[in-house]
Amino acid sequence: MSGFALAAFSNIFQLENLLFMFIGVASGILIGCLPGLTATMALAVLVPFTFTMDAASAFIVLGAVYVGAIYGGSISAILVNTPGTPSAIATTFDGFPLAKKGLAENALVAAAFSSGVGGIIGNICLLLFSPILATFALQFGPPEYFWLGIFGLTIITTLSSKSILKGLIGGTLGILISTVGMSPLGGDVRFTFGIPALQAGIELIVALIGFFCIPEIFFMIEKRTERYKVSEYKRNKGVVRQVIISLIRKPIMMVRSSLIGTIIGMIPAAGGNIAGMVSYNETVRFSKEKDTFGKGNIEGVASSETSNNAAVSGSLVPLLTLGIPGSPPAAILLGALMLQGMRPGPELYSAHGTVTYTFIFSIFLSNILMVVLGIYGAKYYARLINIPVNYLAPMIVFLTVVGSFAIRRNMVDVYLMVALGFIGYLTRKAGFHPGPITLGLILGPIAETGYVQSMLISKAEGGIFLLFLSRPITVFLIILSVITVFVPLWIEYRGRRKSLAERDKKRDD
Amino acid sequence: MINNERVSAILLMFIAGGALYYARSFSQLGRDFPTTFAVFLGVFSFILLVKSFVKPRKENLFENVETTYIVGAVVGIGLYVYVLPKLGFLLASIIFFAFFDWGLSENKKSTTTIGKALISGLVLSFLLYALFRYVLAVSLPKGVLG
Repeated sequence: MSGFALAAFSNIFQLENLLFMFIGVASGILIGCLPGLTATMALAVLVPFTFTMDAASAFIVLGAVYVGAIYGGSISAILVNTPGTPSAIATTFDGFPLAKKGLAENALVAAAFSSGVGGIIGNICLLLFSPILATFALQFGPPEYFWLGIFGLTIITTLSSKSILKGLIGGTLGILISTVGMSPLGGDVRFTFGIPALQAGIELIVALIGFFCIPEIFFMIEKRTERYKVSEYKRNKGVVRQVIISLIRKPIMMVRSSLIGTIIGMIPAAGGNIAGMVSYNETVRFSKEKDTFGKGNIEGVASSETSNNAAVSGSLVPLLTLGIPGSPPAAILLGALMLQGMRPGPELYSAHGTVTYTFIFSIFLSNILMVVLGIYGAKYYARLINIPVNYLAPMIVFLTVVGSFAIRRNMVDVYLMVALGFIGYLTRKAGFHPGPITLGLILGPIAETGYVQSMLISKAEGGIFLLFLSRPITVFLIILSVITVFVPLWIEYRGRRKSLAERDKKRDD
Repeated sequence: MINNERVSAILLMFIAGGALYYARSFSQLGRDFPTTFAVFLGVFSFILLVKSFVKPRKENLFENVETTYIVGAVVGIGLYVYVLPKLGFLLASIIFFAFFDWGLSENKKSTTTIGKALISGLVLSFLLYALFRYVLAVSLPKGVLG
């Protein structure tokens, strides 16, 4: 590892890459602080433009944007009571009350500092655990990969949608879309409807841009007349020092929130928003001043922000080791890895070790840069929150069109991106979250290759069920998949029974 | 008001059925996986259909939404990607940006709005063109201007 680490640092400290990191963090914060624009969208739009860069620079800029955007969400959460990204939902609970009390600067400094701390602790966990997990992945054969794909899908369908049924439909639809093009084994050309450009399949990044960016344009247009009232604040001497010292004196809260963020980040689909909420709840639970939360307690801001930025690195653990993205932005990064010809797993820590460690260490440094830019630049970012939709929407259209064209220099990809975007908008309106659909698209090829290879192996081993049930990891993954689907259904059923019983009891009384 | 879940379920069942029908011509190695998931999609969609009858939920998905603007944006984006390979990135983008900006403005008849839309279309399209072409070295659709 030390050889890779040295090479990684020499990569990062090239002037060009430091500049990329700065631009990445700065633009990430800007995108994050604009309500309606998310980290996922920023990364989806950016990935095609990194295609021409060398892999190390590409991942430096992508990591920097991811880190910046997740923090950026806190600026609008604090100043306009609207989270810039879903990760900052819990930040609004105490961030905005602090701003209303005239303590916006305190909240912004706390958000920036705690985001940095969370990001760094998460990054250390990524550095320590991901190589171990990647080595464990060496034990995976086709049956394990098939069930890993299924497990990833079941967990996202149950976590990311309000309705488990709609999540399952989204996931299976995504898998079906992933089968368009040449089959991985057998050479069949499937569901191309005579369009030659579809023979190579639907380009993952094109689909991700379509599903995550185009619908946002329509949602922005829906809210085009909305203007946010930004809380004004003046910078006061000594606030930065005072807030940082007060947070350093809360090491347990900071470490607990970081670990919650990292662990939740590792769970596919759980992401920064759940991390922030869970961490906030735990901070309230352990606090002696429970009543002050929701009314402007700085610990509320710090716990949410520590956790959501720790989830950034957490979400990269299953991505880099097993190819299962821990969050929607991580799904985009998977597309970026594939575009650069890199396959998640042990190879990333051996053959592509320099690029991987460059990426990991660059996230560490991006967090430090983010703290500085966040503390001293939040005021200037706040002025951009009300950029009119008239300018923002067509700019995003340009970026999505150029991005989807640039990958294969093919207009069919652009048409496909726009069509998937329209479908994505309508499906979101109908309550189908894009997460399961896109994860189906990502995991489809992994699961199919695993399934078909398992089928071939099983012919010599007495049938596919025997093959699945004779391997401990596969059995474990099958059990996890079943639990993931049925436990939430059981909880929902129990909840419904309980509320019905209560209603009957009230009626009897 | 329509029952969106019912419409979605029927549409998805058609997709599942279509996939099953087309998959018949594939070899076994290429057929098994999509067939399995088409069946799953069909079953889940059928459950959604049943649910839409048991607990009917009628809602207007576009309530409080100015649909004219959404339809305008869909048509605008559709036309933009249609003319893009014919006119090229720069020309198509200038027209698209100016129309989009003007279309989303409040005071459409004002000459100031039209002028501002044209200027912003020209300036931003040229800026993005220069950024993509010369800084990021990204391929752009060429069209009549080459």
